[in-house]
Amino acid sequence: MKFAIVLLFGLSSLMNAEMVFKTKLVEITAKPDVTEITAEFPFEVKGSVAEIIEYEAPCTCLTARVEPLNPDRSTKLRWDIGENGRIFGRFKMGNFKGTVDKAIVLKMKGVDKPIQLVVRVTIPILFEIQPSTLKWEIGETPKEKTFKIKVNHNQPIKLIENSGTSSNFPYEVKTIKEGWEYEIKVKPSSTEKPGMGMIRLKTDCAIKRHERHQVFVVVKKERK
Amino acid sequence: MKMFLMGAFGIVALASLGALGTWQIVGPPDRSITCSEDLLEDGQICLSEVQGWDNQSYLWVDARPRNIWENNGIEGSILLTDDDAEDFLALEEAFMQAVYREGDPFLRVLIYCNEEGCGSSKAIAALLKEKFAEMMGFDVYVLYGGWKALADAGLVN
Repeated sequence: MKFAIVLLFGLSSLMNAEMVFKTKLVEITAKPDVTEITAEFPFEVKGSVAEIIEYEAPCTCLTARVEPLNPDRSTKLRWDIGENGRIFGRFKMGNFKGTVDKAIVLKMKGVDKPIQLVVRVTIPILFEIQPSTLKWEIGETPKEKTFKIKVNHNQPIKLIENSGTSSNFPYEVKTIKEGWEYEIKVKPSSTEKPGMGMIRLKTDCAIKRHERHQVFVVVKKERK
Repeated sequence: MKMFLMGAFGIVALASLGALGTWQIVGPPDRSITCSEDLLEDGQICLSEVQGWDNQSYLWVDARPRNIWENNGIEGSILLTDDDAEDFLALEEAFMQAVYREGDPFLRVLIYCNEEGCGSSKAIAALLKEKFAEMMGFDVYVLYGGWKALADAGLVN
């Protein structure tokens, strides 16, 4: 009889597993020099027992942890009703700038749809180049076009090196305000044939992520 | 009380046996990626729609880490990942060379990652839209279901 009660209780708990999160979206605006940020998703177990069968961050830049740990320091995967915990995400700020969403995925026993916890990180763009690509159509008049560069930081970022990869795209770097504003003017030698080039830029920005940049110049077929 | 528990236990046991029998006869549950318009988020696309396109019109971009791409990325794909270990500017240059296609750029760029939970493909899509799509004249899509959708269709293994 006791066995039957335990078995029934166990089966019904698996069917009603519910981990309730205060929020499934954490938004963070990172400082320019930060290399890593963390996000927490507190939860409470309601309804009945909840059991995590798999948790993962499908991105090398985000690692997930379930806290608190068991007394033996192993990860606590089975949570009883009324218990509180948190999913902890550590996000490494890689190559990206702008706003990026990264998800932690929890697969729960007895639940088909995985829980997705999203970390939305906004990484400031300190050295802003507009546009990223200049294009000319084949046969178009090879007139001059311009990249505009603006520094969005609390201190100047100087453009200290530049190099082009194609002789068909001669260019000139113009300093509007040293450390704050530049222009790169490009005038292709010819637009008769397709061609692509790059202009590589190096700044004196101490934050590695913002040190190097590149822009593209292309002559391509007209899109009908 | 005893009768009630016995009865409940019997129902659970019968249901379990039924489920086991179904598994044996029909096989395991279908966990393949099912895609439909109402499931798609902004910028996502179903593989079935892609399969209706001229395969010269699109370029696959793999947003997963390099070792995984090298192991089972789709043929003809280009690596463009936010993995810290990579020199992103070098990857971006390789992508531009590929999409430019000697002056006749691809019309579409299709990005995939591991599965739906992977934010990398969305982040790459946003970056490509912002930096290159308009100038180069291509549209950007994220494949619903990611690599698993390709695997279910037998396009990768």
